[in-house]
Amino acid sequence: MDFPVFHLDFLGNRWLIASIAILHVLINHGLAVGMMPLVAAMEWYGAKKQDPRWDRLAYEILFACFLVTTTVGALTGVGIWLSVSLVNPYSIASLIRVFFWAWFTEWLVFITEVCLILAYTLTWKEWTVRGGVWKRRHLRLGFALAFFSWVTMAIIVAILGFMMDPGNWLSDRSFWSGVLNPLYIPQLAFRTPLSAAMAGIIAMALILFFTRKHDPFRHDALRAVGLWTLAFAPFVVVAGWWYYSSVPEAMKGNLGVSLATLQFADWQDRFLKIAVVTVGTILVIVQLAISRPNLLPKAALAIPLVAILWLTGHFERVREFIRKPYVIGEYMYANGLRVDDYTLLQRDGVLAHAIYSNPLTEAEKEGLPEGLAPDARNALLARVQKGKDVFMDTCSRCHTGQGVNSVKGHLARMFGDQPWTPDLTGGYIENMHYAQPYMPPFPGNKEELELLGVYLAHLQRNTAPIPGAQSNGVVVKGAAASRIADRTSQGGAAR
Amino acid sequence: MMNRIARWLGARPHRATVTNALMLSALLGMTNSVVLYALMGSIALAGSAANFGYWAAGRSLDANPYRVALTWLPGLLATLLAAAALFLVTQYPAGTLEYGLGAILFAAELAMLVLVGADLARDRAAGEAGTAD
Repeated sequence: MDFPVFHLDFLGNRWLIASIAILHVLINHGLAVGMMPLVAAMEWYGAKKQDPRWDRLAYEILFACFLVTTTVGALTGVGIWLSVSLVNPYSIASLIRVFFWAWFTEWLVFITEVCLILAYTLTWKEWTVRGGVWKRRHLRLGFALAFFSWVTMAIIVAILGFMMDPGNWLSDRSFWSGVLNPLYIPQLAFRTPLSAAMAGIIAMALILFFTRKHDPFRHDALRAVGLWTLAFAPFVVVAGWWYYSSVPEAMKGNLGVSLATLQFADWQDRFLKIAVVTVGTILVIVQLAISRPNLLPKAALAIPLVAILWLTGHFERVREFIRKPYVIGEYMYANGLRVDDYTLLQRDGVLAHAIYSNPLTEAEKEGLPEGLAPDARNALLARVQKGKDVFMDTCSRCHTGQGVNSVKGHLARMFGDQPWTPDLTGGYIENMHYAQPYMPPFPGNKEELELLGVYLAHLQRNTAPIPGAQSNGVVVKGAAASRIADRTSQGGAAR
Repeated sequence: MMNRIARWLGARPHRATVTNALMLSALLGMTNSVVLYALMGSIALAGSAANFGYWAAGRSLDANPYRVALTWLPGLLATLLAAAALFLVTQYPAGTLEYGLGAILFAAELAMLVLVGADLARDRAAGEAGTAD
């Protein structure tokens, strides 16, 4: 309400964040946090055994990771900031206020990490040729890089855990209470071995490309990296269980929908079975890589690679969804409105405190009832406009009008073809948070609930996508503009 | 044909055992008897795991941590997955997807466990014969 409303009506705002953030997680977990210790260990082992084949393989894997992490990895990291600031500036603003020094520290650590990976990669060949103390320095660079990669994740995971359960911060508002939230250590304990296991699977796939088919070294490398993956697998399971046990009970209730959307909520058991079979398949293939690497074709390693990427990406979806209706647990709802502000908003209305209005386009005005007198048409349009503003301020962070997770789709599923009158939709919206706990309560007053209903009734007849402020601009509500939604807006402009 | 099979089986000592393990698993899968599957499957698993454990323990005595992990982890994983598979086939009725997956996994992991034990036995024999490890 203090910011223009950015909106993507086709894929939805959530997809913008998800596509960038999940890609970032896959890269930073699999190619940085998990991979750097593995590469450093391979280099160390090669130096210890005086075997240049390990050194060469480690360098080739590092170079591939260096290319991806410093381009797509870095861009998606910044992309998360951009997308979150656009979609939910209120939540990121709150988080920055709480975690300013944590993020500042993380920025320093990240800059150090970037410098280290540059130095580690670019000095490899020359310092290896020099040997002796220079090679030892290079090894230390690798382990330092591994450490700093992990530290960036360690800082960010504190913030992610806070978003789900702020713990004692809700009462004492202290920085350390926020950092040491109930989910921090369990989640960090889960992500650390997960990153290592991901890196192992990715490295096994890369080994098949960087070594020749009948080279015995390929078998040694696959065996060693397979062992690395297998060594971390039990920790992923145990820490995963610890993490799951720490999730607030109310949020676990969202698991069915989070796993596979509302339409497939009853697939929960089936989905979990698919996940277990996938994990089993990964273990069997890794087992083959250790015991019978000569039997492992390149195509076989595509299975655990795709599987681990899918499992990790889907875990991120689940983690984000089960947190609903909150974006910051017990503090701020996913619509960007604070829990403590609800009393005020439900009294005054959301529009009374909204700086911007989101003007209807000509396409959005289509679908009004035929045969209306000009005054009546204008009055209806004014109510539709206000209803749209209510929608944009309270619903659009998660819902589109016509696209993914559209309100039209949900209303059609619930009410079918009958007219979506304000009484019908209002009766549902007022109580939806009881039936669907992942939905926040409606934050507006009674008049705004009706205005929203008028807008939704109009949407039933209108198929135009809803533009965001980025393409359609905003109207700044000056002193002359109406601020309070009331029933006197039947004819003419509202007071 | 039979001579060729016999020669193939005889070429490596563990092939006969692995083939037996696979045939036992297939037979158990076809019996449609939960009790028999659980009993015979457990005996076969325990026997193979004990064989693996014996050879792995002997090899671990003077090995570095990497070698110890390389020795133990494959067999432990095979034992764990075979036990999980045995659980699946005893919990779900024959003909279901879970039963089928469990039966396949049990056969594969039992065979893998036999293979791992055989590898360790062969390495020990090679070591005792003075062949470099």
